[in-house]
Amino acid sequence: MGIAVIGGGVAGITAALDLADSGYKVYLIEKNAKLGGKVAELAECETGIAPRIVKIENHPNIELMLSSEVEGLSGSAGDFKLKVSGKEIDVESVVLAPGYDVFDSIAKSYAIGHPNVVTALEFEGMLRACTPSETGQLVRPSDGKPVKRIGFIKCVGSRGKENEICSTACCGFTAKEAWEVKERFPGTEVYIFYMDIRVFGRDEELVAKLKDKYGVKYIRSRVPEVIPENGTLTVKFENKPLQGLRGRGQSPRLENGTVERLDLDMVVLAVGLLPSKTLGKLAEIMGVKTDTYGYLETSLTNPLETNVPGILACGTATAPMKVRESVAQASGAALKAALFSERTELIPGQEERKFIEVADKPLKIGVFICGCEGEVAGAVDLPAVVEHVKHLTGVASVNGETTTMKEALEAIESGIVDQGLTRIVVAGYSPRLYEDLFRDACAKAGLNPYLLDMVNLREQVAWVHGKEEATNAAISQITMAVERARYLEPVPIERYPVIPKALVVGGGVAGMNAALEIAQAGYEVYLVEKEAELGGGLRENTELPSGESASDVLKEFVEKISSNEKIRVYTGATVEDVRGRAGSFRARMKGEDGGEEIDFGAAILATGAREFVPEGWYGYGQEKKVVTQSEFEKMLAGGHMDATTIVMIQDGIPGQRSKYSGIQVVSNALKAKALKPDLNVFVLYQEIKTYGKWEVLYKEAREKGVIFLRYDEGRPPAFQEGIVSVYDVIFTDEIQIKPDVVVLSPAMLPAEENEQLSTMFMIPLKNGFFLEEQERPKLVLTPVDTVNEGVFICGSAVYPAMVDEAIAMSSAAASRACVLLAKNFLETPGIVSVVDDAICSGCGVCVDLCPVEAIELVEEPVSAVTFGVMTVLSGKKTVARVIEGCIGCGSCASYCPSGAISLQNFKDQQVFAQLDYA
Amino acid sequence: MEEVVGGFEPKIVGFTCNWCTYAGADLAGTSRKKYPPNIRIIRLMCSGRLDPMFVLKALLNGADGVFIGGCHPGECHYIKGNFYARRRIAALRTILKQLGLDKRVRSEWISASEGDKFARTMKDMAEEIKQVGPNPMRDKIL
Amino acid sequence: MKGTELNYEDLEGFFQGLLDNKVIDALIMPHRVGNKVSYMLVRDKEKVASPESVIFAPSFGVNAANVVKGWMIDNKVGIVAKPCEIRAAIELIKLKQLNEESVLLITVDCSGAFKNEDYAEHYAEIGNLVDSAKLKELEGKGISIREACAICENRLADIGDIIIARINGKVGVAGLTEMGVKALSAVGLPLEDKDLERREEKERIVAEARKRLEELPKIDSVEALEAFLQDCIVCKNCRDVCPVCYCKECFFDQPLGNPVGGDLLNLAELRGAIEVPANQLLYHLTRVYHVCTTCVACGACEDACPKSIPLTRFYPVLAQKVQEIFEYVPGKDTKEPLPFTTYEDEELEECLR
Repeated sequence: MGIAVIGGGVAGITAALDLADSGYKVYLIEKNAKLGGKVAELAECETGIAPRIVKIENHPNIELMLSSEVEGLSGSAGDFKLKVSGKEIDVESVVLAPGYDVFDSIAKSYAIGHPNVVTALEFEGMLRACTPSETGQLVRPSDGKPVKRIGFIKCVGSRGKENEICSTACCGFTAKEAWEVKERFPGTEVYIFYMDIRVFGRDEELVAKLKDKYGVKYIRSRVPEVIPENGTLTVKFENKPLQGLRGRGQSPRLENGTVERLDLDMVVLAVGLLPSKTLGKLAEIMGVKTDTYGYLETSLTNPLETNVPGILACGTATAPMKVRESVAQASGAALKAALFSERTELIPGQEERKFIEVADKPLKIGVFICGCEGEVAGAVDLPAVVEHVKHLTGVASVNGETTTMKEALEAIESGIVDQGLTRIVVAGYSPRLYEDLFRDACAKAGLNPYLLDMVNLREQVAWVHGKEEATNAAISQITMAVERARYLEPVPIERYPVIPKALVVGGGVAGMNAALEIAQAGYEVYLVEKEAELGGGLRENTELPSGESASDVLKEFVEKISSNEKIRVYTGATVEDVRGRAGSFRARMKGEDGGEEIDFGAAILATGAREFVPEGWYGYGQEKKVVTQSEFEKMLAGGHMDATTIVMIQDGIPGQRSKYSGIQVVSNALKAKALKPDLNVFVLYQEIKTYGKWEVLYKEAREKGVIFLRYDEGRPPAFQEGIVSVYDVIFTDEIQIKPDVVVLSPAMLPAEENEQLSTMFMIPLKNGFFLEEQERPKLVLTPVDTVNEGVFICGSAVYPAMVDEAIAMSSAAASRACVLLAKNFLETPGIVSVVDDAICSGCGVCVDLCPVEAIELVEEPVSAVTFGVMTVLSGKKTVARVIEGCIGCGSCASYCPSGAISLQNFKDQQVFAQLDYA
Repeated sequence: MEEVVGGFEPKIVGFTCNWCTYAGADLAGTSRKKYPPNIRIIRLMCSGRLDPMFVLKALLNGADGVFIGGCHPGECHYIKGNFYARRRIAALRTILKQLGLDKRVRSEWISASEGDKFARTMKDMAEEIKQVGPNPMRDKIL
Repeated sequence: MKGTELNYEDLEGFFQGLLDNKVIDALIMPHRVGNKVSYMLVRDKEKVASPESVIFAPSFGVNAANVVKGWMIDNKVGIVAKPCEIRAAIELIKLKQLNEESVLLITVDCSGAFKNEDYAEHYAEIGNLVDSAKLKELEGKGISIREACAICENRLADIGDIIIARINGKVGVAGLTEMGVKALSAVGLPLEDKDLERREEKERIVAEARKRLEELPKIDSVEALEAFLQDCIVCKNCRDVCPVCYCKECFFDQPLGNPVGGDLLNLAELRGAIEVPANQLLYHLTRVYHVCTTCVACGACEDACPKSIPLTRFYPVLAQKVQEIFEYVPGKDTKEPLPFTTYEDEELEECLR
């Protein structure tokens, strides 16, 4: 049987690939005629999603059903019958990933329809199509005049009457578009009108950079209308006093209420996200519940499960969210769906590969110049290039006929098989994204995959140069590649068995969930927690925002873990000294069990985050009445409230707050109000980040009489002698409150052990949190993968996340780990350093340089020798040796003055060859 | 000399790391940012693989300029590669400076998301090298 | 530092004591052959005779570090040599080409030296000991110290395990390291607190050296460089005598660095014509980069050049500026990391573009 994935957007694509790559039969059902969904409309999609689409189209385990609609479902988990456009397919489980639609009943007042008023998605298209270097300017669609001022209006069609929840993603993508405008058209003035800036983690850094470095003006005002006048667009907004304009003690000026006008050349509307229009019908067919807002219903602790067993949900069909979150959910849902299914297909790339011996064969270089669907053919004079390249020494054949990647791949395979080519040069697509595909094509045809060189004619020639120049550049770059190819050597590739076990570091909710899912998928798991008990952050909380008791949730997890014989738990333990690579790691444990060594194929780092102890902030630690939100939550759990006035200070302490923080503030305020309705609750804040559906809590809190006072960024509230004083920017006055309790929201800090784990597992840190391998530039399509294959990250170890998100991410990490563990064999990496013993002087500098300790010095004893007159004592000299774990940076090779250590595929001679022809 | 400056198209060899600057160049492409066609890119996995001897070889082969691009310090895919590269390039340029050759060698940290910076750098560098003039090694028998 | 003062003639007993007490198994030190000064490797202490007449002699032949390069046996050797030679030895220890435990580094004060053959020729006028006044006087007569010595800022013994300093008609002997102090006490020298830093003298030397450096002709353009190296026959002697060049097989002896036959012809095909021997400029430029942090400016390269190219103006001069940006003085301390093996998170951005 198999698994149906419904929706061919980024989430569906991700789920389908994870499943197919681990040997499941997948039906990928998409209602449109092509894959990619909304993400494919984004400017950066080329670098992110396009290679995945190619992979899906060529995947033996995926049956692609385009322009297909789901019409009916019968049966139950393990035995569903799905009717798709008149065809019936048998599947064991279903992943729902139908995506979202944008809010399309935008009020007329926004002058929608005016050529210079566009939605954020349309603007992406404009940015993509625009070739600014010709004009150097962004131009107005109406008349082609340069855009001097552009305004972004956020929350159009969200956080309002028509759609009361927050669309979550807009703050981030608006910032990204603003950044792109400033980066590409530095002279443009950029204005962003907003209600709250709800960004987290790295987006927070981006917004700060936009404000400080790029001079983007963030204006807190809900703009109700856009008025087209004489070719420009006028917006009216409420002006607020500028920060720091007025010193303390001066009398307040009544500046609120003054309405400013601003003439703009273009307006971009950050339009809200809504459930896909067909979602209701789909849900009905599938028999799954939807929530009040029309999204698929899931829960905080089961964010990927619908009410029907065997039917999983992910992505923007469950709630508005960012791309990275959709992708994480999709991976997680894939693994959950797999649990209902039997693996029936072969995993690609597992067959043993034998390569032709090329050393004794004459050099026959095949050059394949691909037109790239006209992209290259249109910009480069291909016949002229072919004519030139054909005459290069060693070139046995030049093929300038192929236009698509598929054709190119096939031509290469037949070139190797039929013509006996021994080196391949592919000119066309960027090697950064497609090298693996072309390497595989070579290997399939029996040629060592490292006998391939690629020339980037599309991204780095055709798209950036004029025709004549592009043709010359193409000739030069291909000539260089042909020269390099001449010196390429077959790189020895060995297969090694994958150890079907996983290591999970961190026993919080993310770690426990990951361990359980991997165990359920059938693999053994080592779960390592440094504290004496499992639980992590769950042990700090009393109640989850969903109302569930934290200790109940924890209890359930612990019971499941202890009853699962595949999971071995180490508490009070840490991991030391990790060696090896994806599929075959070895680590030493430190803890009660002593120095036990464990072997595993994949590792998940789920170390969580910890709350900063705000010692000294607002008298915390000295005054009893000053507590943190977590402590306040425990007070609330006591069930009674003695205080009459409570002040909550949000954002008062610098640092990165958890995504939970804003939700915790309003939820605690509401709980306090519920205990004592006449309680005075003041929330002093900068931003209330109740993203997504949590927005309703914020609304409810305001309705219940919680008073929200926004203070000026430069003037945080003060707490002295029992009085909280704050300058409120809406009343433009200093307000003094005498609270019984002051509640603080401290920032979250990364786990202390991250530093050490970062070195051991070679995962870079950013501000102490693990950095994911980014599907660069801007889309994060690999939210739980890292630069070190086989090591995954999830939960608050990546950024302080919300519970559902931590769980979804940990399921994703488990899924990615299982994709790897499902394989029987992996191949050793080809781009690694090698030492020529005969030349090595043993200076050891390479050992010091290696970032992953993959080089060691082997001592060669100098033996004692008795000469005629004396005995010379023994001594030792050294020689370098590359051991397991080399990542191929080449730092060693670039130092080594004699070239005794060299990086395969990037040897001096291969670079020299290119230089000779550059 | 003036005439030469006006008419000459410099040849620039560019060493870029795979993860940042090469990706930045790709992004310049996907964003269709035109830049002068003087650059010949040699892809390395990491700026840490840049043996300064490659730069010397390029200059002696007659390249008018050599560009080196890597990830921003602290963002290296291999953690330390660009830190090493920075020291090596600084040392090399210090040597070249005394020989009056340093202006031909320039390095920049360009991330995968800085397509515009890549295009701009290519443009600036082509201009700069035009000012510096042709590499005297260009037509020498060497 | 701990040490004592001795009379010049006490040095013989001191060196013999080192051998006698098995502090070291052998001693490399200068000795005299006619008017010339060479090094000898001594096993029999009786061969140490009047060392005071030769160890300070202002003559430079081979760099002693080049002699002990590759000394990886456990037998311990003492080296009595000038600061630049001991500095080179310390770099070699960092590069694992010399076993730190098997060498006792004894540094003697240097006033600057003449080329070995110049020294021999003018021995009668120069003598065994010189000071700055004497050097000036000799210079007036057209007998000048080597350029490398003229621009050397590190003439006073201040590194190694033991230093031997010339002070007021006597010699100060002091241990700088644990090994050095142990050696001194093993031969029964009284160990008092000694300050042999001589800051003022050092400042004077540095000022003088910098002035002389400024006066050197600069190689400040490609044309100047070509002219400078015009006569180079790529014999690679400068490499062979270089104490900090340590490759088992030099890149420029390998096919890529030293193309022959078809490789050579191929290059000619590519460019129409190439100058041969090939890679002359690449050889020197690469080599100066290779030694730019470790070059101790001893000037051995210049002495070895059969074409009398004044290589001091190239190797030490270019390297010094690199060492400045890394704030690195080669051979100061065996524990100090080599500049290319370390880094700061924020640094050197001004040197990149």
